[in-house]
Amino acid sequence: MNGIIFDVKRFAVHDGEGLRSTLFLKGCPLRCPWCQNPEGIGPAPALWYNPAVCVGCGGCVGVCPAGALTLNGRVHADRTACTLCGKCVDLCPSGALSLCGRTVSAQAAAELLLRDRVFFGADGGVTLSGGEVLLQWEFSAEVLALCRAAGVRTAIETSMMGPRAAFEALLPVTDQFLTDIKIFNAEEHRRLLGADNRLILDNYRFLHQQGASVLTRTPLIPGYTDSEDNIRSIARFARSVNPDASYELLNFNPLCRSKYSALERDYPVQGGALTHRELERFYDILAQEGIVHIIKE
Amino acid sequence: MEMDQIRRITALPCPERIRLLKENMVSEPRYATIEQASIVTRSYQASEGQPRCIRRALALKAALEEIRIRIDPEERIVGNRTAGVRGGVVFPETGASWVDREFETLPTRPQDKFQIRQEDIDEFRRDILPYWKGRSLEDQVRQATGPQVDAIAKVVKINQKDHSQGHICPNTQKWLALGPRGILKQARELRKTANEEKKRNFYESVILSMEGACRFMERYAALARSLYEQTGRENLNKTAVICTKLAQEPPETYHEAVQSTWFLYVILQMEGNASSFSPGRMDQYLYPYYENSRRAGMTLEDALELTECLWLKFNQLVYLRNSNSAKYFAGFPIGFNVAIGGQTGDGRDASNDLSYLFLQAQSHLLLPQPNLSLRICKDSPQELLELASRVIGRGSGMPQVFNDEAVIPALESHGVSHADAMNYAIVGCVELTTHGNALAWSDAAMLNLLKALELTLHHGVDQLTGEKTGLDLGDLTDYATFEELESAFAKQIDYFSDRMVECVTAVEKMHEQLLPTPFLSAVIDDCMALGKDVTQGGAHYNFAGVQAIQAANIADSLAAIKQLVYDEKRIPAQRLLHALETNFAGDAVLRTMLLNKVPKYGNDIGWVDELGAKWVNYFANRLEQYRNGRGGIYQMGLYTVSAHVPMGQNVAASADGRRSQDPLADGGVSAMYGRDTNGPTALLQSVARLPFVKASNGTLLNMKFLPQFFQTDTGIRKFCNLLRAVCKLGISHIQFNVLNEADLRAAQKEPEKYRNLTVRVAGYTAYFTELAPDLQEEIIARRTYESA
Repeated sequence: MNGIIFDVKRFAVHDGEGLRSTLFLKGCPLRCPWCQNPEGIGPAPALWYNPAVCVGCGGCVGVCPAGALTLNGRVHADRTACTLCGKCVDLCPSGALSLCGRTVSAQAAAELLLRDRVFFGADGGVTLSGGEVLLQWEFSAEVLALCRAAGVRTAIETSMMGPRAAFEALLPVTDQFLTDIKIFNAEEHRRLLGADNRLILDNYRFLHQQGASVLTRTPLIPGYTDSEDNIRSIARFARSVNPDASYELLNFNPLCRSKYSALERDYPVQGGALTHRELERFYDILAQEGIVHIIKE
Repeated sequence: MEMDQIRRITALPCPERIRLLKENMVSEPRYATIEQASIVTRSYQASEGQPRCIRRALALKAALEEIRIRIDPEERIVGNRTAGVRGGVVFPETGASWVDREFETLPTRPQDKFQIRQEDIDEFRRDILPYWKGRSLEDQVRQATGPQVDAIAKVVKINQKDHSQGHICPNTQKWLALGPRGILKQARELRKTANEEKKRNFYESVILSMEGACRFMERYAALARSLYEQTGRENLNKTAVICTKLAQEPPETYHEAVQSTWFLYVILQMEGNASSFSPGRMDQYLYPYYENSRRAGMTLEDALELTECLWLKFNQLVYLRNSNSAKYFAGFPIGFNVAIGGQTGDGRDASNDLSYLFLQAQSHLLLPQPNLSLRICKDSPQELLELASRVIGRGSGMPQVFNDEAVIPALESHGVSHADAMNYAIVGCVELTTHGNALAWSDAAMLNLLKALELTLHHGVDQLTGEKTGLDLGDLTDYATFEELESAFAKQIDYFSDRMVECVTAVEKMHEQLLPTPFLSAVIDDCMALGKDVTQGGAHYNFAGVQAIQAANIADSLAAIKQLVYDEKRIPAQRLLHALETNFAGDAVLRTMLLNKVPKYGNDIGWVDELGAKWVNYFANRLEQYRNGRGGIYQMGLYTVSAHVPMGQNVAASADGRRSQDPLADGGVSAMYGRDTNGPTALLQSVARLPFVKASNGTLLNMKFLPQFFQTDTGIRKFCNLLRAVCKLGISHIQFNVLNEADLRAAQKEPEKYRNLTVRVAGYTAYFTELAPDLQEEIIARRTYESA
């Protein structure tokens, strides 16, 4: 079957063990304000514009059959008028205009991922990420099954915000689940991320019941997730589900701000990465809560 | 190897003596010196009428007997070819005219500066230059083939016109086994039965050279003894004893073998003053001596200190080139290339204690020499790769990595025996050689394929000078199909290849007549057996190497023309020609299209990479049709060292979007800077499409990494996975630049050159140059933090 993807990242070194290729799937049910891949939130392809490389030739404005583009220092797109015909993208000499998101078959997606097979070695492999993998779980399961059949190890990065059926389909073809628990407090979760976290926590328990290999992760986002209380609660929960849980804290990375400026949107998170000392404080909290396997940067 | 032993070696600190010696060395100013030039000139004046090889041997012997010598009181390994360290040796036998022209500019020239003394300049012009006018290699080559060399100079750079050919890995094992005294005896025996005068002269020249070598060692023994008597320092006493012994007998201990090895390389440089003599697989042939000494009680600390003494010595000899040559080979590289690891003759892992000690020495000193090369193969031990990765992460660019799985088949397919191929070494920067039995003439010439393409597109007319220097086969508008363009390009390459080979042959002839090298020949098989100097073809293997410049630019330029002009017909040929002739003035949009609408080499796009592969393959096949002056074949290399800059200066705007006179892609098989935007694995997949089996002269791939990658054990293991993939992909060579703050600052200033520089984080990758300035600052700050 087909799926909609928006990127393939080769030589991924932070998306699981070893060297990996990561496939990014379009669409996400959550609305994390700090999202690192805002271009992946919407489920459908969209016109993407990078003002940094635009030469301002204006060719795109003339070629657009829908009259959706205007040039005023930079190109502005009326996304409601845009039909995604791609004429402007084809013409654009600099590559400033591109289509974010494209439809591919599972077979084609697997081929893209397996191109770098020679690099995977014993521990590396392929990772599906997003967006949210679970929104396209049937496609995802097919891609992973193809990779597995080729003898390659598989992983997914997921918010766990998805139906039980998705996990049932993914479990047999996934070697490792990189699962995010971002905010433990249900009310906070609903307020900030636009959805309840009960399903997330249920799925987390389910994965463990099924004996899946799970790495628990929390992104440390200044002002959102980096409170002692939040980390302590997640650690306590993780340990209650699995006394032997592995836990990784992902340091905040402000680099995605460039993407927001390309989208002409403000990025709400202030501040930069946590310092080494701040990280150590959180590692201590995890240790106090009895987490034995702490994955450090 | 046992993990405990590896742990002991990697825990060894840098010895205090080494810190002192290093400090002394780097603080001493670097001078150009004429001392040897004046000894040699006097010797030549006294030997008129004798055979050339005898005259050269006499000149070397005189230098070995007379040159001023010095010992630093801290030293345990002694010997240099100048009294000061890092002296730039004026060598009039090969070139005096250029020294005359450039002497005053040496302290101020942009690349490879040397201090000068006015009295040296005066003496040089009064006593040395007049004798060598018209007699030096430089002047003789100019007389013999100057106009021919000039006529093709923008396309072909002919080398060795004013300096000796180096890039040689002598048979150090034999030198250690026999010592100069043993070789001298051998030469005397062979002279008795030699049936030709030419051979007798050869043996006589070897005898004279070896006598000089023994005398040189004795002089060091005497100096060390007298310094010992003044200071009472035990290391000087030991040095005196060892040097006395080595003048008479072969070495037995590690200390003796290291000292003996160093004498060999000093004397080779005194005779040849060549760009590189390389020790090759030192961890293999020094190992028996190391084992001997370890059994007799030598500590690991002591072995490391001796090794690091030698490492410092490798940095005390530098190479004085003319200013043009210094641009092509910047940083006075002298290429003491040491290869570690690899396999034994029967395919077992060859690494041993010394492989690890050498890596540890490199990690302590982080100096430019030796040029440390790690041979890897599919069965390389993980511990060796991990230690090498850690050393690479320290940022000296070493060790560079060579892949047995690619190199050995390449050598074998060019007539090298299986045994010799398994025992290959590296000379100079990245040139491949057999061990102790080859004169590979690795840098015969470089042929600029992109310039040949420029001439093919424009009626054979050089777009920078307006002169017609190539074949006139029409211009781009005349070639109805891409295939017609390709066939014209092939003719242009053939035309310049023919002329190049004529010039190289003439240069080789001059070396044979003027620069026989008896001392070197004594340690290159089969010269002694044949009674024949290396310059006459006495070596077992006689190659000549020519570099094809530059795969990435050819692939990108032809891909752009093919896609935009012929396949899609989006750009009329006339418009492209005009843009190239005017360096894109007035047609910036066209340049943007060339850059962005056509895929580039280095991104794992098969059809583009194949264009690069096709043309280097074509050139390699053409080369293999010629024979060199010593009867051997030509072979292709794919490397430029720093020549991508001056070679780029010779080429007008190209269809890959490169502006007129901008540098070409660096290294050899690297992508054009900033255009490999799909990450390192895609680059490596592209590179792997090149015909490495054809590139038996050597290849060069540069990759850049941020230091963060090497700072955790997980990162090191991932890096090892990358190395193992390089091995499987069959890429011959790779070296890694670990970026420092200055590099990142440069990327801020010139983002176009660093577009491929990525910052990897969970979830996605950011391109450094596309980040806002404050975020770039954060990356730089983080780097500084993490290195603290």
